[in-house]
Amino acid sequence: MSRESDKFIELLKPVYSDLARYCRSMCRDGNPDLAEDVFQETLLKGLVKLHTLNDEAKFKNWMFSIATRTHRTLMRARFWKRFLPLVKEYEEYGDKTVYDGIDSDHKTKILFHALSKLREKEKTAILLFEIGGFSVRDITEIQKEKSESAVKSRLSRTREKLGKIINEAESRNTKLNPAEGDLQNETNKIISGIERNKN
Amino acid sequence: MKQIKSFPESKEIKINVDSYWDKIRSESYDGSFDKTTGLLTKKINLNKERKISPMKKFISEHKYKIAFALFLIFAVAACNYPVSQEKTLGYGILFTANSSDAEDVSQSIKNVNWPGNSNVNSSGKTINGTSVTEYNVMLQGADESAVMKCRTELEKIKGINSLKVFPITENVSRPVYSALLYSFFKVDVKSSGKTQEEIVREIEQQLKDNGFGNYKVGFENSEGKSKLSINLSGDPGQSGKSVEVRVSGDGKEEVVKLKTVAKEINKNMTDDEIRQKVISDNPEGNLKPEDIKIERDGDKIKLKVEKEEVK
Repeated sequence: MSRESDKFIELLKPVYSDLARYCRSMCRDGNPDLAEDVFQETLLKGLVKLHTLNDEAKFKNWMFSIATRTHRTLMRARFWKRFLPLVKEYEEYGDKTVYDGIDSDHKTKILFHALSKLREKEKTAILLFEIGGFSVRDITEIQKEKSESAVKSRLSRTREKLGKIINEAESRNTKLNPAEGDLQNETNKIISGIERNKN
Repeated sequence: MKQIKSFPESKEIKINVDSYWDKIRSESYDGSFDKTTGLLTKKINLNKERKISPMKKFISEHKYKIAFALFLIFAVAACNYPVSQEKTLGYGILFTANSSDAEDVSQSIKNVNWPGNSNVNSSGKTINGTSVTEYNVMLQGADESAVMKCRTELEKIKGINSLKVFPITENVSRPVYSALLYSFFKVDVKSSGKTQEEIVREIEQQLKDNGFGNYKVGFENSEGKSKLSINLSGDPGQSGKSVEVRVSGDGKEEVVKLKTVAKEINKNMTDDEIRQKVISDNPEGNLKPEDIKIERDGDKIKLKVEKEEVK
């Protein structure tokens, strides 16, 4: 096992950061706790099943496929667990290593929010392309599509959709700011009024 | 309904989506690599211990308990499993007497203290060329000790040969009453799931086993009805014997009662004399002369009694 884990670590190193980003982006609003579970479960599966990988050159594709499946399975398990307590609960990894102290800025938050609005296949395709750096051909293979054109049109559609969602979110954000100021002003007025009455 | 545009200015904002991706791409996780892989190796070893060791430990500690639990499961399963089981419902006694001693023996056995519900039947038989009378006694509900006492009494009677005591058991394929009827030349056939050919073969086999040599069994299919036909002819050794064949199944039952012609009927008798003889020999049959059909073929007389009973 130790020789195999050494091999795994060696293969993992170049793809580690991309995989970590991919796992986080897959999760709703980039939830770091959930992302940690997906990521660690992916690594664990990868290490255990490394002997089944025939071509080391395909390691990255293979790991991203595992991550995609793991995320889906984890989401389903969490969903059904609400109704069926007997559904196998995924082990939650207590030790936070990857996403510890990661603080998302405004743009990242908006993007995570927009990604959460996408369909599963759309989100996977765009993340594999933008974060994983995969070609259309690779994505076709990972997503088990019959033609590249299907992936191409999916990517195009998703980009457009994502742009609209981000645009809308940013606009709402701009519009809401003065209202927040008004509310604060009104609250201050009420407080000073109460204080005056006391005196 | 026309939608109200809440944020008309939104179209005016130019968004560069690539800049959002750039933010995520610039996040580096490389610093956590060593920590993560270390934790991963640790977790793998822990999982191995969790998955294998406790199981091995449990099996080695509880192997006798596991074996016992398995035994119990098999025992319970065996109890619930349908098995064919023989149950003794009584006993049967079979013995023979030479025809010359038959009268004395018949008198003597009347004094025997039969246990349970007894039913004594006798019939003539030829064994190795010797004419003997065979006695069948059914002792329903009798226990073994009482039957053995009875056997001792029978052994004391002069003229009784080849005394056999056998338990009456119930089995799945042939119920006990059927087994007993079998001894008295009665044939019971369950026709469910059987073809006519299979039923015919079964009846023929039972007749053969009972010593009938000349028989003809078949189904007469006419007007959408199947009628069982059994013809026993010209067997001197079986003269005067009764045969009752019951074919039951699918909620219906067909009964064919036959009696081989007694020696007293001969070719010199007129048809009316034969009819009267048959009626007097079968008082339980409530036969009328028109029920009896007689066909003559040279020296051979063919008697046929057809009577349909409505229950």
